[in-house]
Amino acid sequence: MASTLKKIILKSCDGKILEVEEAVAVQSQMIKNMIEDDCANEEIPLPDITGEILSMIIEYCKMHVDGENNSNNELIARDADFITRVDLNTLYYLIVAANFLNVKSLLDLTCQRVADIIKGKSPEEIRLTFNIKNDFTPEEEEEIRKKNAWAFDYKD
Amino acid sequence: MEDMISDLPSSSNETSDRISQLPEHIILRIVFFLPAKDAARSSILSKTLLSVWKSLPIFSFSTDATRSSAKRTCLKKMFLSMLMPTEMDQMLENMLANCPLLKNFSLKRCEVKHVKLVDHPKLNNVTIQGVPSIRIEAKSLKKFYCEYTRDKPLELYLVSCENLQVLNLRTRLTSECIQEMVAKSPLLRTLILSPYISLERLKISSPSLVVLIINAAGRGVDEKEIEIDAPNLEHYRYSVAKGKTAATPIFINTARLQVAVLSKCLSARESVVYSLDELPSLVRIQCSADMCVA
Repeated sequence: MASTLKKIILKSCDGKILEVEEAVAVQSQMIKNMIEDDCANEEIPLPDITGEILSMIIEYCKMHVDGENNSNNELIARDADFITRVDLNTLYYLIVAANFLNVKSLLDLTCQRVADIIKGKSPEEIRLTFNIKNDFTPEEEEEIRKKNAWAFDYKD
Repeated sequence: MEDMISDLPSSSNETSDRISQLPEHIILRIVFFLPAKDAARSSILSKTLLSVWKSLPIFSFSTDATRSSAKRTCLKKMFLSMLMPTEMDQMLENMLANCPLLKNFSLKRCEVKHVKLVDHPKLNNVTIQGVPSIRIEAKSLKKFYCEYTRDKPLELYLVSCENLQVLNLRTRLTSECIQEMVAKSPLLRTLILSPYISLERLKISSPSLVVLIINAAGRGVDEKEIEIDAPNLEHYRYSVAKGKTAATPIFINTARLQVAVLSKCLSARESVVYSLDELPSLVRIQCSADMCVA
């Protein structure tokens, strides 16, 4: 198909313009829909995504398009390498952007990463890591602990 | 992790609660990726996370090699245990359709009207509680436990489950229904029946059966007779609720019976004694205090 070489132009919220091959851009379900609706001929403004995050997402999509013929294990290893380089704040913006652009595999990867960070930590450690404000009264907290007592038994 | 935090830009906005700001379906996805214990613990973090936990239909989940939902086709075990009043049926159906390699399936305390397990060629062990209509077509099925304690009779269809070895039913059943299931399971070794509404008459006939356990704790009419034709039966246990009369077991063709445990079998005394002659392999008979065997 001739259209696979077509370039899609994306504009980040901080004004960066990025040209992306259509095959890479359609990893985003949102952009794919726009192309199908013939709405992607001019630059597409992305109001909530910074240039830095957008470049990372394109890097990720490119990796998946280029790696189509690679083995599954290789792709998993590359995904892991990509996501462990990301700090928490960037991870948050990646999730928001992956959700907006609807890149399902990246959304899974980023959510899985957050889950991996949470895993095995005590509630106090998790609150500290993610800045989660405890909005329960001590009584309410005790009540929830009681309801799910099996989960708060730290034997394993 | 602390390194990561110190790397972050330090404007006050950046230190806000990142998780609770995410759309609920994303938080749900994160919690979904957590092992069961961590997922339950997340409920204590904040009110946002508690509400996500409460809406989570999936209790425990494990896959073969990867936990990515994209690889859910590898899913071998699925344990669901949560109330989910709306749309649970459709969701469950979609989920099951994506798990062709499912081996173990368990559904407890879920508001589901119908469970259909077909097209799971590796299905081995199934536990279902509280679902009024069940259809299972699985040649590979070995163990099935089902509990349904409402007044309406359970609609249960086991189709081509010819390798079933353990059948444990705790529900309102008719004798015909039990007989039919037993007849269709030529490899059945263990049968455990806990009839919620007692059966007036029960007939068990199975050439493969080794263990038979009947917990007659149900309400309604008492069993009058239990007729057992099982040449390979080795272990028989019968118990009845306090204050109720027990059924008279009639052993036909049970020459290999070794252990019979009978509790509260007052009225069965004579008949047990009577049938001892026909039970040459019986090595132990154990009865509760209110019964004695001469």
